[in-house]
Amino acid sequence: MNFIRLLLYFLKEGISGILRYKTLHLFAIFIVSLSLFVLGFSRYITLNINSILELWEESLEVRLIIKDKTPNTKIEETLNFLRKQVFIEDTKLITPKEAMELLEKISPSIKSVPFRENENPLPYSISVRLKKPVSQELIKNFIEEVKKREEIEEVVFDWQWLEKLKKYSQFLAFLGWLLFISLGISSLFTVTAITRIIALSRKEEISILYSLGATPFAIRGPFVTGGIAVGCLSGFISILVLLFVHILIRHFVSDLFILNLISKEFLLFSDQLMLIFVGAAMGGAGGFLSLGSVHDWKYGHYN
Amino acid sequence: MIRFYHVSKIYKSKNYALQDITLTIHPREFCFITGPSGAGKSTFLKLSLGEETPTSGQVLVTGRNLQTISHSEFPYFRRKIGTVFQDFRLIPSRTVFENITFLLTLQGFAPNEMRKRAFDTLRLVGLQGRMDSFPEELSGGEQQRVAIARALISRPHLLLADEPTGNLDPELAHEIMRIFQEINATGTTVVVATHDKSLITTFSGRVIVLAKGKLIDSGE
Repeated sequence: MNFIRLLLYFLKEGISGILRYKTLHLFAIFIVSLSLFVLGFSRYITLNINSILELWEESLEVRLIIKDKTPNTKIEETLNFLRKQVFIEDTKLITPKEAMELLEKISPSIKSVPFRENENPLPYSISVRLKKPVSQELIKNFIEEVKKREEIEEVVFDWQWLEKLKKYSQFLAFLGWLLFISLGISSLFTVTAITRIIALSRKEEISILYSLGATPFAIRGPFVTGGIAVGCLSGFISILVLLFVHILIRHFVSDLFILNLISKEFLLFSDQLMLIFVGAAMGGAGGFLSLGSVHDWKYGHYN
Repeated sequence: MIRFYHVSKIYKSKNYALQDITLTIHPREFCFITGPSGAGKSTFLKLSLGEETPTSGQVLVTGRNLQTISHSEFPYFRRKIGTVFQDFRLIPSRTVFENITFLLTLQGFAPNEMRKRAFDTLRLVGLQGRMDSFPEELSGGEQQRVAIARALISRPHLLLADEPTGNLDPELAHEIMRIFQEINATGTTVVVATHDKSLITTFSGRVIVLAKGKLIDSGE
C-alpha cells in the first residue's frame, strides 16, 4: 500500500512537472515520437512484405509459358507429363483470357489499356503447384528438363526473386532498427538533456528534498515517471500518426501497385504495445540518467 | 545526542572552519551555539547533519558515527533530525501542507493521517489556518514557522536550527525562540546556532561559544 502511494505520488509529480514545463516536454515528445514513428513504419512495411511473401510462398508455382500456335494435343501431352511428376501437387492450364483477368485483378489500371477484341497479347500457360517442402535442386533439374521441350517458350519460377524479396525485407527491417537505434540514441540524449535542464531549474527544490532526507530513489522517481509518461505519450502519438499514414495510403494512393501491396495490414497489437513500451523505456532511461548522482545535488553544490 | 571527538574541518581555502573540537550535547538539552561570523557555527551543524564530513576526528549523532554511515543510509538518518535554516528552504511551488508533509508522503503515510499530523504540527506553530497557502503568500516569520513545522512533523529527537531568526525582526525572533523552548519541553534536543546575543540572554539554555573555528566555551 505504501509503495502504491509512493508510485501515485511519483505519477502526480511527474505529470505536474510535464505541465509545468510544457514547451520543453513538447519538444521531447516530438523527438521521441519521430524515432518511434521510424521504428513503427519499418515494422509496418516489413510486416506487410512478410505477409505477402507468406502468401506467395503458399501459392508457390512454376509457370510454363506455351509457345504461340502450339496445338492442343501437344499441350495435353505436356499436362500428362507434368501430372506424372511426384513433386507436383497439381497443374492448371491458363488460357489467355484467364491470364488477362488475373492481371486485371492484380493491377486494375491495366483496364485502361485499350486492347482490341481478340487481340489478347497473353499466351497460354500452365500453372504448376509444387508439393511442400520444395527441394530447390529438384526444381532446378525439372526446369532444365522442361525448358528442353519444344512447345515451351519460357519457364517462370518465382523462387529466386521470392528469396531476394525476403532478403530485401530483412534488410529493410535491419535498416529500420538501425535508423531507430541512431534516432533512439539522439532521442535518449534529448530527453536526458531536457530533463536535466528542468532538474537544474528545480535544483533548489531537489537539494532541499535531499537535505531533508529524501532518498535518491524518491528524488529520481518523479523525473523517471515523467520520462515514462512522455515516452508512453510519444508511443501513442507515433501509433496515431502511423494509423493516419496507413489510412492515407489505403484511401488515396492504393491504386499504385506497390503501395497497395505494402499497406494491406496495420501494425499488430503486439507491435503497438512494443512502440509504447520502447517509448516508455526511452523516457524512463532519460529521466533516470538526467540527474546523474543524486548525492551531487546537495544544498549549495550548484549555487 | 551529539558527540564531537577532536573534530577539525578544513575547506579548500585551507582555513580551519573548525579546529580540534571535542564536546558532547546531551539528550533533552537546549543549546545555543554562538560566536561571530566565521566562527564555525554553520559548519558545526552541517557536520552534525552529515552534509559535510570532518577532515579529522569523529562525529556521533543519535549514537551513529557519521563516518560509518553509507550514502544510501544518510537520507534515513536525516529523517530522524529536524532542521531549520536561516533561509527557510521552503519549496515555492508547493503549499504549506505539501511542504511539511513531503517526508510523510515518501514514508507512505495515509492522506488522513498526514492531514491530522500537519494540522497538529501547524497548530503548534500557530499556522493551522494556512495549510493551503503558498510560501510567497506568507510573511518571513510565518515562513520560518512553516520550516519549523516541517522539521517537527516527523517527531524528531533532535532539532538543529541554523540562524533561524537571522531574517526576522526581534519580536518574531522571540516568538520563534519560544516555540523552540516549547518543543524542547516535550523532550526534543534543540541546538540553535545564532550570533544574536539578545536571544541568548533572554532565553535560558546551554551556551557553546566558538571563535575562528575554536571552542572557546563548551558551556558545561
